[in-house]
Amino acid sequence: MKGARSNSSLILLACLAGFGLVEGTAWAQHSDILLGTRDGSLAVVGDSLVFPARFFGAFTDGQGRVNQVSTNPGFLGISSGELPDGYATLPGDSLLNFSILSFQLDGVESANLWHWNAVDDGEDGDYSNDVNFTPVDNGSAFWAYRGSVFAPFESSGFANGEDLDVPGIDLDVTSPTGGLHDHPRFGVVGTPEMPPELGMYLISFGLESENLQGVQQVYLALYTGDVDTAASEAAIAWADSILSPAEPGDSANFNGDSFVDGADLNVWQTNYGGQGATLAQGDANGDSSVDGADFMIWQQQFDAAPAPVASVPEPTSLIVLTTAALTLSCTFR
Amino acid sequence: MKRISRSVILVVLAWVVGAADQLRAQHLDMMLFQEGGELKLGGYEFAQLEPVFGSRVFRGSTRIPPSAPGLAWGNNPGWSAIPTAQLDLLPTGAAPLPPEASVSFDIVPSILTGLNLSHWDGIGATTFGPVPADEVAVYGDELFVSSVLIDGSASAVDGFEFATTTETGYLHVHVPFSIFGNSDLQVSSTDSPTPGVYLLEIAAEVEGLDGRPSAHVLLGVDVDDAALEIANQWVSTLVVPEPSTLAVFMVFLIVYTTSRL
Repeated sequence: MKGARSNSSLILLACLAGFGLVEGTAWAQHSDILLGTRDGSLAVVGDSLVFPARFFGAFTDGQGRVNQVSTNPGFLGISSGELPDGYATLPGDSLLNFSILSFQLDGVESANLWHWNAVDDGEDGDYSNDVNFTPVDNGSAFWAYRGSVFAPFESSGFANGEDLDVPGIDLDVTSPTGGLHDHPRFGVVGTPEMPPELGMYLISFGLESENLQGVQQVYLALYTGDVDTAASEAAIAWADSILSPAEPGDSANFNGDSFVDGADLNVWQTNYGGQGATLAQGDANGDSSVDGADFMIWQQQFDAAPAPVASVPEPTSLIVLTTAALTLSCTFR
Repeated sequence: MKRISRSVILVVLAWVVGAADQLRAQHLDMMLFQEGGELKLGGYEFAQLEPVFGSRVFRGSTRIPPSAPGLAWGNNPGWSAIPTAQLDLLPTGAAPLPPEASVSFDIVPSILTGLNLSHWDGIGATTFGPVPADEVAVYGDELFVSSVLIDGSASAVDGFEFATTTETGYLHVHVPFSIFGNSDLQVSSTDSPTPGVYLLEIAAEVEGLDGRPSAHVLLGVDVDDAALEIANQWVSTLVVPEPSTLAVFMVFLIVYTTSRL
């Protein structure tokens, strides 16, 4: 499955290179979220929904609160130039807004702010087995803020680790040609007695446009300046594997009954943590383990497809079946 | 005589190319890089996702919050720097910024007006002059990192360190701009900043590099894009291209004329 994701990345890069965008896009995506439309819906251009950024540092504001502050990632809409196949520019003169969403990482808890201390528990320089995000519960809060500090919170939202969506933070209005480049401020705020913990924070936004259907979910991975590059890369890779959209071949229909429903969730829960697993045991993405990534696929397919999932073969499957049937019929003659 | 005419034409063409490069600078971030240990300034074009070298004029729009009509704020243009992984985006001889280097700025009086904050009403002939009322600008704010007050006088204003490059020399920061309609910074005042285009000049410094290139920043308050574009063209034609840009054209000119001898 990892290979499949790498292939899709290569395909996208090839598309971008074909349009002469690969260098600039690769750079821009270090921090900015490139938006467009796809099939009439708001869409992120690219195959990752996780966007990292580093906090500038801890600062005390006018109220004596301690803030970790960042103006990244920003939001970008290209008003000219070309986008990869299937993508189009944002509609002009349209207001974009975002909500802070509560989400699950382990299939057990939902929270709108997650934290990992970015510590190398094994002291072996390998953080890949140490990544462990938990809901924030120490009173610190993430804030997203658009506007001047001199204008009292023209549009803002706070999330403190609760299972709660925070709706309606205005982002910006696109230009008449669909251009957008806006950098709201993000931060984690605490008190002098209880400053924000160091490490990495995961937050999810639901992006909406007033003239497009659907909500595009993205994830911010924000980290404090002391976090090792290896730690941030491990966390981002982990989050990317957990939170990226399901691949076309992924399936959470574990019991083969044509529906992705609660019965499939039971299968996943029963086998959670298992290795060498099959689809029938809850391995939705084919990596032989039953983990949070499989749960996320179940969640996506449960939300998106309550209808039967196997009653109508996909066109490619039909082609394969037809080809096989023709081959067999020719062979038997 | 014929050779002289050709040279003159080439020089004119070179200037036209340079000017055109600046005129297309519409949605640029200020982009920093180095050349032989000296800090250089260019632009990063977000509409095309590519660097624009030679650009020294940048612009951004502001908006007046309904809840705080005493000010207009915006967060463009920002600051960018190309990381080492994108070295091929830079011209030969140029390099990314040093790793983990502090980046700071100062506000300097504009070479065009002699003032640290100037204004044009966006109507008729482009004539930047003193701010019409007692408008002041603030770059940064306490929720960001720090801030400075720009009072429209002829004085330079000491800035502050607003960012540190990453270990790959990467930088991308948007420091907020605010323009107040009154020097008392009363956000609820009905004295909104006078509509028009505001001009200020920002000089950048990067730890470990020589030089302090400056950017000319245009901020639109309650004006349309056309007025900003006119101001952009006006400033661009008056701002002398960086010596390195001129040098490239001069080398081209010498090579061309020599080849014709």
